[in-house]
Amino acid sequence: MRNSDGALVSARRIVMRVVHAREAGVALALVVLMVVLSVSAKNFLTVRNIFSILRAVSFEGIAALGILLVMVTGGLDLSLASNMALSGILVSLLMVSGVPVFAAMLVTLIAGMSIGAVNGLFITKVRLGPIITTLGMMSVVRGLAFIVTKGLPVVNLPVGFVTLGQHLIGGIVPVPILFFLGVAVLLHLVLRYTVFGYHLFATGGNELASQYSGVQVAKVKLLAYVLSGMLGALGGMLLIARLGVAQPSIAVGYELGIIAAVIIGGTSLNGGIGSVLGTVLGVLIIGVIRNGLVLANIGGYYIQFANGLLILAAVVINRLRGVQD
Amino acid sequence: MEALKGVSFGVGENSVHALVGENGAGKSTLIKVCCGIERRDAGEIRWKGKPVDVRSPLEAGRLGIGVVHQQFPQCLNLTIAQNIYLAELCRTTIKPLIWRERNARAHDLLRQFGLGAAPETRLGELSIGERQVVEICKAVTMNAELIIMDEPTSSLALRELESFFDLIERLRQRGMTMIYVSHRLDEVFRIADRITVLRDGAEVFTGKRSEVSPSEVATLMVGCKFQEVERRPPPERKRLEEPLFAIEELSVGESLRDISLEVFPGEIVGLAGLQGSGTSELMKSLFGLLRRNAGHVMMRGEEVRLRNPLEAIAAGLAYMPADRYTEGLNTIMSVGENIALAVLQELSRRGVMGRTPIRRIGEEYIDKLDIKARSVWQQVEYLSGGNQQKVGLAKWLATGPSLLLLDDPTRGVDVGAKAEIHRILRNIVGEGRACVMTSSELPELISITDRIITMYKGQINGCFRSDQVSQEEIMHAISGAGEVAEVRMGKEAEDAK
Repeated sequence: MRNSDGALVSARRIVMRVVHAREAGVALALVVLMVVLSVSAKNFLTVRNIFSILRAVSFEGIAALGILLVMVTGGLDLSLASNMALSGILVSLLMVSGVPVFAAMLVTLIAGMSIGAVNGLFITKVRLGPIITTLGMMSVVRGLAFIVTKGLPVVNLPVGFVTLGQHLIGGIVPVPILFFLGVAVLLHLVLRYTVFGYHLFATGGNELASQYSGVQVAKVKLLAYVLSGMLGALGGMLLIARLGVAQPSIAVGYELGIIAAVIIGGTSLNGGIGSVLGTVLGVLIIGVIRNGLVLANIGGYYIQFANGLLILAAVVINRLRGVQD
Repeated sequence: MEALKGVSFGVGENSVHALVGENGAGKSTLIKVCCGIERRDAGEIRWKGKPVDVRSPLEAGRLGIGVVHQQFPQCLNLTIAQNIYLAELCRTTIKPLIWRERNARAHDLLRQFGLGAAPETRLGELSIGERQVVEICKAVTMNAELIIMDEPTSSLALRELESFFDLIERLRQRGMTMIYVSHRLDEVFRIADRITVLRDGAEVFTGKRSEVSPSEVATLMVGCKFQEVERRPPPERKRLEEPLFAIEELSVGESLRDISLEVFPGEIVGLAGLQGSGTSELMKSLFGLLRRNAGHVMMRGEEVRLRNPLEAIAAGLAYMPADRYTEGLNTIMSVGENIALAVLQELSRRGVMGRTPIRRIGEEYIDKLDIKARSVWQQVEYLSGGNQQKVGLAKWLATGPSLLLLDDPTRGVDVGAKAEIHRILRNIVGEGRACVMTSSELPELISITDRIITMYKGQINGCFRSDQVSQEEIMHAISGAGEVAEVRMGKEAEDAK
């Protein structure tokens, strides 16, 4: 009797925790959206469609997790989509000129980290604002992608590389999903169970107080941008592997969707609040809406429109939550 | 909550009416009601004999009521004249603005109030006191007949005080009526014609200045809470005891010069000084937040380098800044996370850590310091001020410091929490540590500390035993009155040559 009471209490506690979690609203929205689409669109709730949604969001999802790190510290990274494009170009050029796939990818990851480091140094050492810094870098990096390719696509990518983007494990599960999942799990552990994770939140929550408590906030922020750059590079490479061709114009405008996903996932624009789970849910919401619009034959023109509305809705909800507190 | 109840007094034309009271007595609320920012629930305001309903600051301005707020909003990027005529700027549509004539008018006005700056000067280049003159000029140009000033001297440097009193006199000569809000009694008794004392939202006295003495007003302000400062005998000191901490001839830019100070184990040293005296800067520089250009710091006889907070923490220092919201605490994070913040590395296994060590250290200090929180995971934002301060203390006690630097640790906490913080500090120094602290209240500083060091204009100018010093003596030192100040002025004159 007593035991069942205890079980009941702890069960209720778990339920309350789920309901009160910041991610609860996003999760609920996702579920509602999926129920509506399952009823209204015949082809929505099929294994193939679900996996195709997951694959479609994997590339931006990985980049979104990078931006999550930056936004938790109170920063922003607008250059990530350009970083994705340049990384895709770089890895392709390296492989086409004979560098082995693994080595080419490693070099590209380092290049992506360097772009992040430039962002981070401008922000922490020169003390520029994150928006203006990464806006500049967004253009510089995109420009580089066009300069090194002279605007032409890079083709004839090695099969081993293309497999990473196109192969279906067991004929069902696309490889990029595993990367997305892996990065998500890893970052969740970093954010929740490492000193660095706590330092990220502390820096975003109150930079001065953290600095006064011995947190090296400049280092923490720099590292966040470096990791964000690395994840951008990973997402960019996988995207090229999926497409099979590297074009300098890929991922144009992706930053909007990526940042939208992070905000929808409950991340505070002021820093200090955010989670991997929320961001993944945010990415999924955007993916499901895009998919739904396509299935419902509404067309691509509405995708941006819907994205914009979602951002506004997410920010308003965050503001209301703040007022309520 | 009732902020004000049953307050009624009249302000005579062309007089200075002082409104005094402790923090939270309702002075600010009363001003807000008078200028239309807040609504009154009952009662009436009569203006020149007629009842009026002041519903907005704009309406108050139209009636002729001008307010100079404690933190007055101004456009630092615009010129003096542009700030003075800002209201006109708002109204002008596409008509071209002729500044020559306005600049000339502003010039005259500035001269009348004793400000030498050209009206084309950008406001950002002026000192706070000069900006205040501009703000008053603005009220005058808007045809204000009554100017309400909220703690006008709190942000002024000492040398600006005289010119401010001069300004009040000039305003009085122009036929202006003023309500002067302050808790500095010396100033009130110097300039006010009549005085109203508020306590806990109620009016306890209104009358002519000649009817009361400053000490009577002080008693009225604090009411039954007024009590003689408690004195403690200083701790027994063994002769030839080594100082725990010593500063030798430390200087920081313009703000601190030749500071030398020794702190002994088991001691609480008070730093007393008015705004701008350098007490906060001294603590910041010791914690590696301000670069010092000269001096040595010794901990237990060994020189320590304190170039950043990490080095300071490693040397055994802890620093609690005065403003817990902007500098002290991560208010959106939990109690446990705040307490653990400075020791995360030690709590972790090579950077990896779960929530258990945070919960443990959080619960340990919640228990030790009797912090009232629902759990270690409650956000600090939702705690009371006193409990927030205890969380700040806990964060630093967790680092096992030898010397605590506490900048006004009881700011904005209630009486009970204050006593508890005092008790905690006593316990801390009982364990062979020491504490250097400031306080915004002199009686508190005298009752909790063993010694008081007074500072004036970035230098130490006195050292007193807390069990023998009076508030007046300390006030005398920190306001720069007395011979020390004269000597320094002589020195400055030499420097000027």
